[in-house]
Amino acid sequence: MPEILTYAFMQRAFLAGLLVGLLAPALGTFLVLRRLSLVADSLSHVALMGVALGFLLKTLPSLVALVTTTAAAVAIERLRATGRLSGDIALALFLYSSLGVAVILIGLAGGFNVDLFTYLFGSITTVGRGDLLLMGVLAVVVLGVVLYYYAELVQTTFDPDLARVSGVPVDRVNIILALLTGATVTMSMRVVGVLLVGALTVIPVLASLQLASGFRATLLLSMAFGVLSVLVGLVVAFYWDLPAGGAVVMVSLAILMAAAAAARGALRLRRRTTAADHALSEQTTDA
Amino acid sequence: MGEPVITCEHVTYGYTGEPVVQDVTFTLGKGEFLAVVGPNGGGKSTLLKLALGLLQPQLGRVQRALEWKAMGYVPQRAAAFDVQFPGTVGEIVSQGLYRGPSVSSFFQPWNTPPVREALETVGMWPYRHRRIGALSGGQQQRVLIARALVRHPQLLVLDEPTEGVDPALQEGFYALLRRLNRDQGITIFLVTHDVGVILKEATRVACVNQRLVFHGPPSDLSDVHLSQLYGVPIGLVEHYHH
Repeated sequence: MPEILTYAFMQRAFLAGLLVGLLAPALGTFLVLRRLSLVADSLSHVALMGVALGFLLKTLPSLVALVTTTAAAVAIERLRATGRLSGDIALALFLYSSLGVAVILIGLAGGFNVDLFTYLFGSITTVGRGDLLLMGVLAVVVLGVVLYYYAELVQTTFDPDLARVSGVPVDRVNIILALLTGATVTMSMRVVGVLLVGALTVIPVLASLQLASGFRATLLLSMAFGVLSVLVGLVVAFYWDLPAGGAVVMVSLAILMAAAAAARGALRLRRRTTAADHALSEQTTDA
Repeated sequence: MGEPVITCEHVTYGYTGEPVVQDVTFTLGKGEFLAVVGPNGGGKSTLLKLALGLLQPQLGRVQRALEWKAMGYVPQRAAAFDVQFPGTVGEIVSQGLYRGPSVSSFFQPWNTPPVREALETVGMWPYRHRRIGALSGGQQQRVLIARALVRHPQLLVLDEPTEGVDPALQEGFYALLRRLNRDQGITIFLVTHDVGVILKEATRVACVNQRLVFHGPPSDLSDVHLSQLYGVPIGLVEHYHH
């Protein structure tokens, strides 16, 4: 067994990373195409507000954070879907207003003795057994729902009006995606950190969009890129003694650049082939 | 007139308080080819969305005799989708065959006989593997028509379908609509700015500029109605696509 896998914390890091590598791009494919790329960032600030509220009310901070983030995800979706605000404006509005409320709540309580951030921002190298189990359950639920509502999610992402006329329950599907996003972001950021969840929601999807043709292929390739980023990133971090989250993000960025270069290369090759075919047919005609 | 497919009674709708569609009453009968014409901003597309049920009237009511699955919708192409959307032509057309949530929907192949038939009808089968965003405007429009046809609709609703389409291809498109209406009995609700279509193809005309200025057979439409509709004197000259 390679040295890296002899450590229990690294085994858990690989498993948690694998799950986030699958989950984040699976939802991210739909979110990016709906122009909600920064949803993880916005929801992380809503979670901060939720945890602060939980401390103030002396209730379970994690649970309050989960409730506030899923409610915010649904509200963002409603604002976007009804056309009252565009996706990026809705995200910015929730980011800053929840941050403002969080600052006030923390001020009201005169600061907290407990480290607020342990409830919010985890690290992939400090994943516990319980967290891993939680992530596993979340992954089964999210991937199961995405599979079950695949056709509906694709249709509502493509064009909500067309989807509605096809009989798709558009509002229900949008709310389901918002709930899954809220739950995934809150729970994953506590386990592996918001940097990793946010980055893996967007970057592998962008890489996949460079190469894949077809929605299903894009979804699967983005998940493959997500998993590859985590696996390579963790190995790099372990042997070069780098922060794991940062290393994973850098690897995903390298994949995106390689994919973009490959897409450009393929386009140039296609143009050259077409030009050569054209020249050949002209020569044949002349002869 | 055949039995009513869509009935609008005193329908009023506005986006910001000012009505875009006001007190419009008309009936679309089975087998009819209704062309809705009017100036830009006159409420044509809003009326179409009200008739389809995509918008709910603020006053009045709309009755539809058909279920969603019996309707095919072709939206204005420019508003239809994000050019980055990775779906291929085949995948987009197969969306028209939607039958409810199912785990198997992810694994089902899109290249079924109905998809092939619909794509061949609009001459887009050779493009089935291409991303929809990589196609020209006219080709995208044909894909959206195939998506509507794949479900064998009883009612086809089209919003400015020839907008951005090469004029040379428009004749073929209208010939397709004519075939669908006359040969297959598909009821057609067409929003268009092409007044020539209403004289040559439509069996009923609705002229809309916030209110319904005229509704009846094209033979009853006069210069006076069109001048009233556009606010400038207009002479009616029949034209043909060659």
